[in-house]
Amino acid sequence: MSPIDIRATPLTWLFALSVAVFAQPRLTLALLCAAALHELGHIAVLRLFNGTLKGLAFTPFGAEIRFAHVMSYGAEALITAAGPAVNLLCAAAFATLGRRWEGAYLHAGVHTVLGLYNLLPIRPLDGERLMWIALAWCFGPYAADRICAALSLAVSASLTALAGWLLLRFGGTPFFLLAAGALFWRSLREMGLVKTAKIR
Amino acid sequence: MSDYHTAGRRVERDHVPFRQQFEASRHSQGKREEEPRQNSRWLRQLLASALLFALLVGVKVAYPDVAEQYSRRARALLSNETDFAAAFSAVGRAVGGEEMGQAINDAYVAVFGPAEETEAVAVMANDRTALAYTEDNTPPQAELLQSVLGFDYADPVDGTLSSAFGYRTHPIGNDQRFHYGLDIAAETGAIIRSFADGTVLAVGESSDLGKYVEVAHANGYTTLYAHCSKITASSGQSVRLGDPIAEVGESGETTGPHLHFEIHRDTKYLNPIYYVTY
Repeated sequence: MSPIDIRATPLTWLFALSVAVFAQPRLTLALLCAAALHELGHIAVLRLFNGTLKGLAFTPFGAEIRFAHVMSYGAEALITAAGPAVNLLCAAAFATLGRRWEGAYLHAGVHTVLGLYNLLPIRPLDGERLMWIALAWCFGPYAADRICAALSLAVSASLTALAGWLLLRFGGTPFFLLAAGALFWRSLREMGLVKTAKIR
Repeated sequence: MSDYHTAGRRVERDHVPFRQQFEASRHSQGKREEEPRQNSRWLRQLLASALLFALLVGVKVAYPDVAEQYSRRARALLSNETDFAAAFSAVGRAVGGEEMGQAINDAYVAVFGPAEETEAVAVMANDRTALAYTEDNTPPQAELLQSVLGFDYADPVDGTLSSAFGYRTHPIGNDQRFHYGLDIAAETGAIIRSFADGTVLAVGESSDLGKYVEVAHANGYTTLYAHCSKITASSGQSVRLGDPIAEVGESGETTGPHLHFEIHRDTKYLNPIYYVTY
């Protein structure tokens, strides 16, 4: 087996560093656990279909797994869905556990948010990938690319606007605006509307 | 079509058609030429990040106080006192099927903070004795600390204290409100005397305060005497400490004859309890 190619952008390090510095340790731990289980979900199903993991890329939006094996749309959809599914199952499990152990609610919340966030139809999240597979299966990849790019842009723009409005209306943390804005920026870059160097 | 069906996901998707259209010329030169350039750029970004990190660590080691101050400020700016752990826990509770409304409310409070005055009121209503007034649970215009007035003063009326400065259940509205002065119960007609030397600033009447008089003193202080039956001083008049200016009554919103007494400094309301002997 060839070594796994692991990549991380400098922005990712900055993001990880700020989470480690600013968030409470138990929250950081819960986030790391949930992210790890999410990726393990992907990898487990990938193995089930005899695929090989080529690389892991850590971005501020989460880890992306790379595999270059021959995959049918069905298999790819299952691999993609496995991550969020693991999170949502864990959320249900932790929520049940919460009646006995108060700390489990934190894990349940983190899993829920992570699972649902990944189902957003914005590239590079799993939700967009699932949508892309469905569209490609129906209309072919060329149309799927275009529809998904437009959808990513529209949804991330709406979320950014919503986060901005919430911040103006209610105050609170600018975190949501930053997160949505980053997704919007990425969608713009993806469309080629903004040109920046692509980091490899 | 079948090509796409069997194509690996990332291999195919790495060349986003949009980018290809915009950068057709660059791509046509081939990938090999591009790699080194991107590598060096990546290296430079990594170096810049490392340098920034080293600088931060350096500052933290050399000037721990400054670093702590900025760290606290950055933390406040980024999270704006948002308790993310509490927010996530509230989401978890909602999933766990606990009362949905309560869980959503908890998440809202964790993210956006409590609605301003209501929390302090609720805390006070639940436990009057255990909680001391601080800047955080009182209105911003309430001054809690004792000040040096810089002039002589005396009690404005003979009577007994019936309501103190702070949160209380309003005797008429029956809701929790901040009471910005002292209530001193006395007989109708009892003489109200000026708290200190000064000038009568205003004489007036309102539905809430009834007949009232306001006196300006030195150093930006003013005193207010409300719910009077009669005002004997007139606007603009100079008064000395102890001069009669009004008589106790029950005009305005009251449940009995008393003097409502406030001390202000500019826009702040001071707690008069420090300056009287009731």
